Amino acid sequence: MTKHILNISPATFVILVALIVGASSCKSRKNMAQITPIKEVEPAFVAEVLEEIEEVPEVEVRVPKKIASKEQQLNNYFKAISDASSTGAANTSISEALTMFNNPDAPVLVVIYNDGANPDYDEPTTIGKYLDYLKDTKSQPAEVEEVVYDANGRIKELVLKK
Amino acid sequence: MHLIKYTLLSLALMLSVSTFAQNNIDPRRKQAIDSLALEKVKDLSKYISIIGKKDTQFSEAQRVMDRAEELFAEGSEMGVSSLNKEEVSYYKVREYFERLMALNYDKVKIQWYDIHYVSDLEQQPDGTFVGVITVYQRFEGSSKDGALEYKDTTKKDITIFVKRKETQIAGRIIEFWDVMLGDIRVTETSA
Repeated sequence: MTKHILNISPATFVILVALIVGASSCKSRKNMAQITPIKEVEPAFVAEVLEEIEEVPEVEVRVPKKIASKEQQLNNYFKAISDASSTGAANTSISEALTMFNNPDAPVLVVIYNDGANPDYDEPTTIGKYLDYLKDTKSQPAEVEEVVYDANGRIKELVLKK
Repeated sequence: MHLIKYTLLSLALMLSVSTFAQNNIDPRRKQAIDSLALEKVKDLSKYISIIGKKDTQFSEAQRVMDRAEELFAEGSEMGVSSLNKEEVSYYKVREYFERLMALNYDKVKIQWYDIHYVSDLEQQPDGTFVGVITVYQRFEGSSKDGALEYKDTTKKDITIFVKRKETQIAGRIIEFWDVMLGDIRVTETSA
């Protein structure tokens, strides 16, 4: 049996290739023709976008005031009591400060020294007594170091640092 | 014989190590204790000033007297002198506060100043720190129209005791430094 092989002459092959390439370039030229030139699009597009921007109403941006943490509020009360110009003013601040606590007898520990391992404390007191102490002595208040809250968010224990 | 000798030697060594450890307190911790005790004396000066002031409400004065009394060791006494008599009288601290509040002036001004250690806090064998703080007291008693009726300056020495104690707070043991004031003795009185 003889094989039938398609015999194409080199010339014929070249003509065929040329025809294929020519046909595909025509197609791409046609596709290119369908694309709108950039120069024509840009101004219209930009104008449209600008119109949209102008239509968007101004939104008032409100920056929320910094809310003092409970610890900072407490430090503020301590300072107010210590700096109070009268017993009445001090007592008002004391009453307000006590609302942050579950009990005027809530324990207060004051750290006098901390070597990093075991803090040294002054004699433990209560928040009621500590606030009165600030009123009486007008001492520099100790800083809030640790706060322990109860289930209702009220302070039940306080650690201060001199 | 050797066993007894070595046992005695070991005991002596253990005792000396323990004593050394007790006296060898961290200097910064010691400084904090010194400051704490000094602060208690300054607190007392403010309480005395409040108690003596005639415009202090009775209930406030009572409350402040309670706070002031808590600063003292039980049985402590306060010395009181006068330019009008030679001897110094000593009263239990609560009685002193009551008498101070009842002084027969329209205006009383008591100020403590130059408060400082004359004898540093030193640790005793039982662990207690003992020291002496001296104060100068300026006393002025005036009449309603402001005329000065009596004034004097007194130098007083206060014995200070600081002891390590413990208490229970919210179910846990808390150790703290307990500062107790002892007797307050008059050393000088001048106009």
